[in-house]
Parts: sequence; C-alpha cells; structure tokens
Amino acid sequence: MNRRSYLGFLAVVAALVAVFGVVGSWFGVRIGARLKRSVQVEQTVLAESVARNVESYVARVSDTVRSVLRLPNLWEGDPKRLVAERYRILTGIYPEIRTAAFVEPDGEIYSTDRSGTFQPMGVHLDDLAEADALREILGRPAGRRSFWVTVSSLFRYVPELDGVTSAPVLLFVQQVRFDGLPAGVVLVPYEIDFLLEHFVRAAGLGAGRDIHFVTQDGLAVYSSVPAWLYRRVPRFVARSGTGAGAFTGEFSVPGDGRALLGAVAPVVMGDALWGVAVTTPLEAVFQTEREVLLPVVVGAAVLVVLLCALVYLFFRRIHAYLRQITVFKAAAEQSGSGITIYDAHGRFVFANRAFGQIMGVEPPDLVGRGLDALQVRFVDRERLEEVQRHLGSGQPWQGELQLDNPDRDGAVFMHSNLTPIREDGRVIGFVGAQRDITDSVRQQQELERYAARLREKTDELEQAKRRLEQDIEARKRAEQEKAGLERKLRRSQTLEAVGQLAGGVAHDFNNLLGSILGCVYVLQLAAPGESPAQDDLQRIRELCKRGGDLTRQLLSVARKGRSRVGPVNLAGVLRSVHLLLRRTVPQGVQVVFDVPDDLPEVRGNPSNLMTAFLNLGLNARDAMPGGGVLRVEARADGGRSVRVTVSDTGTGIPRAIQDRVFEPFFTTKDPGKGTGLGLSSVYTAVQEGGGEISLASSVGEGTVFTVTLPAAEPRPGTAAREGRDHPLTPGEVLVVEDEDPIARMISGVLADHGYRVARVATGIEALERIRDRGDDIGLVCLDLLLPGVGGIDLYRLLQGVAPDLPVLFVTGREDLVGQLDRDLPHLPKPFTAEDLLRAVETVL
Amino acid sequence: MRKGLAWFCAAWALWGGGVAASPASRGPVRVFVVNSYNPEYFWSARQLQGVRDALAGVDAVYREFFLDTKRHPEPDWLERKARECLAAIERFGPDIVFTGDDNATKTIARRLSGTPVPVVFYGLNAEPESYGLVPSGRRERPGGNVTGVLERHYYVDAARLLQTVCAANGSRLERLYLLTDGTYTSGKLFEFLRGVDWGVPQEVVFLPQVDTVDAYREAIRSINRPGNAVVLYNLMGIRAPDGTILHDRELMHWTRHELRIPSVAFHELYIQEGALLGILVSGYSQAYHAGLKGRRILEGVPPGTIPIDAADKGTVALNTTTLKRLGLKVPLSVLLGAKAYR
Repeated sequence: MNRRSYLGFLAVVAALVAVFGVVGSWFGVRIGARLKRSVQVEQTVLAESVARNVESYVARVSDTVRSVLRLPNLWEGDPKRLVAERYRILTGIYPEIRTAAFVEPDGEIYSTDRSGTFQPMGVHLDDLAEADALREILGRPAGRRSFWVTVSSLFRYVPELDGVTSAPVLLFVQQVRFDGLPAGVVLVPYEIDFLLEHFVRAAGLGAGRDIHFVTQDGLAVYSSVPAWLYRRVPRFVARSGTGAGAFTGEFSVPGDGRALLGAVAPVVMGDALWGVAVTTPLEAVFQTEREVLLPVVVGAAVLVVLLCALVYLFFRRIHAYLRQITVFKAAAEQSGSGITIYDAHGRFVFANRAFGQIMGVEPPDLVGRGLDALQVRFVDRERLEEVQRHLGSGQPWQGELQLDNPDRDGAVFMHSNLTPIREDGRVIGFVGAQRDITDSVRQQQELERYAARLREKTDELEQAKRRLEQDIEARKRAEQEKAGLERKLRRSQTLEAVGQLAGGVAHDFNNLLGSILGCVYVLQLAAPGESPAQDDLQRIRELCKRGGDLTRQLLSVARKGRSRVGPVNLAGVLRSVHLLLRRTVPQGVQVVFDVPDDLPEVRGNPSNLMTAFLNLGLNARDAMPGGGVLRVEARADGGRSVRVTVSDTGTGIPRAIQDRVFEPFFTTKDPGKGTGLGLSSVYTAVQEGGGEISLASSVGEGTVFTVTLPAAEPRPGTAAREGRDHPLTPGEVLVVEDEDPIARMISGVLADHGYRVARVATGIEALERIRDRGDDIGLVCLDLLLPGVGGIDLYRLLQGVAPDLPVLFVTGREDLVGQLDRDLPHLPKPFTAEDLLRAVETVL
Repeated sequence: MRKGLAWFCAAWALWGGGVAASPASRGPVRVFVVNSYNPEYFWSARQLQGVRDALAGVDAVYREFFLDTKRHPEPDWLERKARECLAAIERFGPDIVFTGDDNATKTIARRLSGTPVPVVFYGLNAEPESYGLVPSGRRERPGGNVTGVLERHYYVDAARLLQTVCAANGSRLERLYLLTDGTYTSGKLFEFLRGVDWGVPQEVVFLPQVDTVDAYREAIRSINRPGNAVVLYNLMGIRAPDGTILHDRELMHWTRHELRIPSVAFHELYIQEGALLGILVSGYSQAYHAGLKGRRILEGVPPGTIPIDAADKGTVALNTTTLKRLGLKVPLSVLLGAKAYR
C-alpha cells in the first residue's frame, strides 16, 4: 500500500468521525433540552408536594399548641404556674419543644427548661429587640386575636455545621388573660429542623437532587447540602418572595459555583412565607446524556475507526505476504540448490530452476503433479518409494538419490532434504532442498580407493617395524647374557687360580699351626702361672690363630668345586649365626632375627654358609659404627627356594663399587685391616649350592644382601636328627687323632673341664673301643685324616653301628668335610681350647 | 531522661503490656494525669473532675502532675517540668496517661507516642498532626497508642452572634479586635485564626499579644471607642509589674468597668465577669469525653482504633448586666437559646 492510499484511508476516517460528531451533537442538544424540561417538571411537582405537606403539618402543630395554650384556667392568680402547666403538656406532646419564655405585664421575662419551672432571666421586655411587638400583643384587648404563629430562628449548636448558629423555629405566641385582663405573653419556640429533614427525606434525594427551605429574606434555613445552610440565595428571594407561585429556571448559588436547574414552590409558615426549592446540578441533569448517548456515539465512531483500521491492516498484511512470496521466488530462482515446495499430498507447488537442471525437467511442468512424474529419473525405485512413504506420513526425510539425467553423462547424485510444514500441528505441506552432489560423490569414491591402499601400506610398515623391534630386543638379551657369562667366567677363573694357589699350602700350614698350638698348650700347662713366658706363649697362640684364619679364608675362596654340597638345615645355620652375632655386635646395634623354624633344607655347604652369613652379619655390624638395626630374615619361596636377607641401616655401599665387592682381595678397608676375601667367600658359598646373591644399597641409608638358595631334595631320617637333644654327656669322649700334640691338647682340655676322655690314634682302635664300650661313649672327636681307616670311612662305619653317637670332626682340611653325606659339626684346625669346648657343647 | 524513658517503655512492653488489657489482674488501675496549668486554675480543676467522673466505678489510683505553664510560660520551664513529669511517669508505671491542653500534649503525649503506654489527650487546640500524634487523614483510626479529644472554639460563630445582636440594635460595627495574652497556646491560636474566613462585614484586627497588665490596659484603652468590638481569648498569662501572673478574674473585673464596647469571650469566667456574650466550651465536658475513651482502653480496646474528635458542643452565653450597661437590646432568637448570666 503506497502513501497515497494511506492518506486516502485517513481522510475517510476523518470524514466518518466528523459525521458522527455532528449527528451526535444534534442529538445531544435535543436530548438535553428534553431532559431539562423533564427534570424541571419533576422538581416542580416535588417542591409543591413538600410545600403542601409542610404547611399541613405546621397547621396541625399550630392547632394543637393553640388548643393547649387555651385550655381553661385552673391556676387563677398565678399566670406562671398556668403557663408552666401548659408548657409541660406541650413538651409531652412535642419533645422538640425544649424551652419557653413568659413575659409578665410589667415586662419581666422568665424562661424555663423542660422541667417547666420558670426563672427570671434578668432581662426586661425593654431589653428585647422585639419589645414593641410583644408589648402590643401584651396589651391587646379581649376578643381580638391572641395567638400567633411565626417563623424565627434560634441560636444554638447545629450539628450539620459543627457550629453555633441560628436554627429555624416556629414561634408560637399566646396572650394569657386572667379575669379578662392581659396577664402576660407566653413564647414557645418549636424547632423544626427535624420536621424539615423529615419531609426532605420523605421526598427522596439522590441523582443529584437536593431540597432547601428558604426564608423570605433569602436565607437557606434548611438544606440537604450543608454548604447551603444560612447562605443567601438572591434569586430565590426575588421569585419566592412575591408569592407568585412556583419558579423554574437555571441559576447558581454564591459559594457553590455549580450551575443548577431548580424549581421553587411557596410554603406558608404561620405568618411567614418561605420557599421550598428543589435543585439539581446541570451536571447531574446531563449525566445520563453523557453516560449513555455520548458513549454510544463515541463508541460507534471508535468502532467504525477500528473497523477501517482492521481492513487497512488486513490489506496491508496481504500486500506484505504477496511481496514476500515474490521476493522468495526470486531468491529461490537465484539459488544454486534445488528448492521445492509440496502440498500435503506430496504434489509440487513450486520447483526452482536448479531443481529442474538436476532432474532434467522443466519446473513449471511439475506444478500440480506428484513425484511419480519423475519416476523415470530415479535409478533406485525403492528409494523413491521410501521418499513417498515419508511424504505420506508427514515425516521428514533426508538422503541421497541416484538419478538418471538424460542431459548429463553418467550417474547423477542428489542430496535431498524434505521437511514438513506444520500449522497448528497439522502437516500442510513440505519444503525440499536438493543439492547436486555428483562431483563430491565421485571425489569421495576416489578418496576411498586411496584410503584403502594407504591402509594396506600402513599395515605392512607396522609388521616390519614389529619384526625389527623383536630382533633388536633379542640381540640385546644375547649381548647381556654373553656379558654375564663372560663376567662369571672371569670370576670363576680368578677363583680357580687363587684356589689352586692357596689350597696347596693351606693344609700343611694348618697342621703346622696346629702342632705349634699343641706345644704352646703343653708349655703353658708346664710353665708357672706368673712366669713371663706365659705372655709369650699367649702371643704365640694368637699369632697361630690369625694364621689359621688366613688359611681358612684362602681355602674358602679356593674350595669351589671341592666343598661338599648337600642338604643344609638353613634355619639351624642361621640360628648359630644369630647366636654368634649377638655376642659380637656392640650395644648400639639392634639385631632383629626373623627366621621361621620350618624352613626347607637348601643346597650348599653348611660350614661355608654359616661362614658366609656370619661374614654378612659382621660386615653389617662394621657398617653401623654409630649403631642401627641389623636384620636377618628368611622366607621360603613355595618350597623351591629360600630367600635370606641380611640388611643394615649403615653407611651403605657406593653404586660405583657395588659390582666389585664380590671380587677376591677387593676391599675398601685400610691396608692391614681387611683381606678382601670376606664377600668373595660369601659369593663362593652361595654359588656352590646353585644359589644367587645380590645387593641393594644406598649411601647413608644402608645395605640389603639378598641370598637365594635352592631348596634341597628331602632326605630320610632328617626329622629324627633334628628332634634330638644335646645334654652334656655322662659318657666318655673318644678322641681319635693321630697327631699326638693335638690329641694331647684335646684330651687335656676336655679332661680339665670334667669330661671323661679316651684317646686312640687310629680308626681301628676307635671301632674296637666303641664296640666294647658303646653305651658309655657320649661323643667322638674324629680327625678326618687318619692313617689306615680314614676319618670319613670311620664315620660311615659308625653310622652303621651307632648312628646316634654324636661326632665332632677335627680337621685341618675343611674341604674334606664336603665329602661327607650330611652337614656334620666340625672344628677346623688350628683351634683354641675355648673353640674346642664351644664345639663340644654345641654337638652335645 | 530519654534513655530512662526508653528503658521504662521496654520494661513496660515486656512485663506490663499484657497486664494493661486486664487491669484487674494487678490491682487498681494506675492513672497518670498531666495538666498544662496549675491546680488552682478553675479550668484545670474542672478537667480533672471530668476524667474522674468518666472513670467512676473503676478501681483506680490517680497521680496528677501540673506543668504550671500559665504562671511560667517560659520554654525552659516547660522543658524542665516535662523532664520531671516523664521521670514521674517512669516511676509510677501507669496503665494510662491523660494529657490536658496543648502544653502537656505537645511535650508528654508526643514523647510517649509510639510506646506501649496508652495516651489520651484533651483540650488540644492545635492540630494533632502538627505534633506527630497521628498521621494525616487518620483521625478516625489513629493507629498508634494515642487518641484524644480536640478543643474547638466557635470563634467565627461568636463573631456572627455579636453581629446579629448589633444588627438587631441598629448598631454599626466597623472593627472587630482580637486580643490575647502572650502564651504559646495563644500564639498558635492566633496563627490558626489568621487563616479563618470570618464571614462578617467588620474588619478583623489582630492586636499584638500582650504579656503585661500595662500592655493589656493600653490595648483596651486604645480600642475603647464606638464602632469597635473586642474578642477576648486568653488572659491567663499576663504579668503584674512585680512579675507575678495576674489572675484573669482580676483582669476581667478591671475590664468590665473600663470597657464601653461589646466584648466576646469563650470562657465561662469571662462571661460571668462582664464579657457581653460568647459561645462556651467546657473543659469538664472535654475531659469527661476523654475519660470515656480511657475507660474503653482500660477495657481492652486498642487506643489506635478510637477516633480523635471534638466532643464539646458550644453553648450561647449572655451577660444581661453588660447588655443593659451597654444599652443594647437582645433579639428573641438569641435570648431564647442562650444561657443568661447576670
């Protein structure tokens, strides 16, 4: 809609409003005039009615009052008592009478309240403004009029005004005569507020209608509008004062300000003439007109305007819709994608040019037809049916379709999106968006082929990579194994060389040292206790002992492959170690021993193992000069092996030398304080049973040696040996030793300590004695190297005849002990007397 | 003092608030009456009697306090007496407080407003809203703890009454002079009257408020000429040369002999002592009406639900001796509705 039509529409509306205004005004004026006439008639009737009713009532009251005041005289000679009696009668009839006054012929004035007792007021007739009129009444001769009714006012409190002002009264005046002579005048005011109010209410107020009583001089003495009370109403004076009858007209009252429509009717109040005015504000008169007619006219005008506005808006909306459709079609035709619109039955409403190019059809030919019209274009008919089903059920659909477009080479692919158009939940059609995706489909297919080939190549590379990694890993393991083997080989060769060197001299050296010790022992016994030679002899013993320690260490390194390896009661070994450690560790070192009794036997040499664990314990002690915790723990590993840990909280071993600590002669101690054979001998003792040893250490935190020993095969009779007690024997100790000094030393030491000792030099002698005194022999101290029947052979024979007989082997060749079948107690040469006694006690 | 009063009110709220609704539960009702003036003043005495008569039959203990502001109109005096009065109230612990006239109401009632103690005022010339005793437009239901009775003099009506009498005698009255003492109450009254539409043809002239008897006599002599009339309001705060407050009876006695023009007054004493006419209101009637409101409060009615109104209806009074002395005649419309004094 253009500007011209819009202005035209406004002109039509303005014309309609003007017509309605003129017509409404004309009707308003005519109706207003009628209303005013109607109201004035009603007012006149009402005023006349009230006036007549008031006059009638006043006449009745006047007659009554006059009758009472003219009752026969019963109180001759006392006019005041006469008046008082009549006054009491009147107040009984009319409560509105509240007071009365009596004027005596001499002019003295009396008043009374409702009790009827007259009291002098202190006022003389001459003091009254109405003195002349009263004096005339007082002196009026008999036979003339003696009763008057007039209207006056009385100053008193007026509730409506909340003030003291004059209120209207009917004043009844009666001349009193005694004996034919005037005896006074009685004045009875009758308040008529209530009367006027009664008639006003009876007439009915409301709808803006008010009633007023107006005196001759124009004073409103009663009004239903408090604001009117005692106001002058000049125009009413002029009209009602003439007594010419009812007046109607428009006027206003000073102080009120409203234009009024009113009617006045004269009312006679005794001697006075009042007016009864009925007024209605013009505003109220036309209120009906305003309330009814004006709303109707204005409402109709508004209705017409609204109707025009609605029509205008409707056409403007239609115009906007049409313009939108035009714009949409232009935009749709410009689109490179296909755009289609279908009705609720799936018939084409619109198809743009792009859609026609995709399908190979002319779009206008499709309008009004369904998808069946394109049936030949769809390669996949089932797909087409699927689309048609969705259209039929009102469901959206999207997907790809393959087409056969005769205008183009090869297959054509189209992506289509069909969305239902809903109105109030009901499907009223579909909108479709179609896109030619032929190029992208072909590119996609090419990409997929490339991707398949890429996946194949990737798999091949992955497999090659895995094979390479496996080869590298295997090579690393082989190199590590080779390095380990080479290291072991070098270590074995070292130990072998040292062993061969040491083993040759160790035995002879030990025998020499043993002989020396035997001689020293004999010399010590022979020499006096306080002889200076004792110190030298003692020094010789200590030197021999140190020499013996050295040869044992040499032998332990060299004994690999020569020590006897068999089942070892590891728990017993560790308990012995514990016993020794407790005696040697200083007070600041706490020894924790956690070894169960039921550990399985392990493979190894018992003596070597004891020495090995003792070495580990002593090393731990030395690592804790300031005190700490030395812990020895052992745990069975499912019967296959036993793992023993010896740990300390000492100084620890630096990582750089951890790999070398097991090498022979490697020591960190000061020169002369260590041989470097301790951990080497430990290593050897563990290795010979097939076990392993490892260490973990941190500087400042401590070191943990872990020894894993394989479990030994179970052997019969072990349990019986293990459960045997070792009391000090009551039998004799049979010393079997071919070296006389040593035999004497042993015999002497034991005899000195209360043992019964028998001594033989050969195995045959030993067998004979055991045969003869078997039950009396409690222990056999047996040298392994004996002439004839060797110690080992003798022991085996004894096992046949007295398997329970305790045997303590004494030998300078510990390597021979390994040839025995089991772990047997032995005392290596050389030894001291204390060593001997401790060994015997241990065996027993 | 304010702090003490606050503690008293808090204690009253905690302990005595519920008791006030049922005074019988704690023995006699404790009634505290605050009067603006002195006990010898007839107006005050009549007011106290009005309260007691309205509460007749109620087991009550009365405590009265006189602010004595007629004899001591100084603001400092009023403030000091008000503090003493509040302390006395705090000690007494009343169930209800009555305040008579403006000075008592503007000090005591205003400070007790908003506390749990019910307060009933009477004889209040000013608007209660100006003292903050009631929100504007809420006189029908004040809502707080204060209600009361207003004192409304019929000033304009009295002027019209005088106009009627003069008109009946054919006297031409040209100026109407208004004269009063220098008290605060009188000042507020003049302030109010200056805004009144008098509705009489005479010129209404407000004379300066007078504080001394010399000033008063000078004022009377200056207007004592034919064609004038005078309206005498309050003469209770006028001092003698020695500084003492003169009794208004003495002033009226002098005035009666001196004055040759019509006079209008609003206190019965002034009419009795020679003022020509007036429309009287009764202090007794106001206090009695306030007492009735207090009685309802003691019966359990919340003070905030009792309207503030003016109970007293004016009575036309006429001194016939003065009438004769002035040579005036009285119309029947006035005489028949008037209370005559000689």
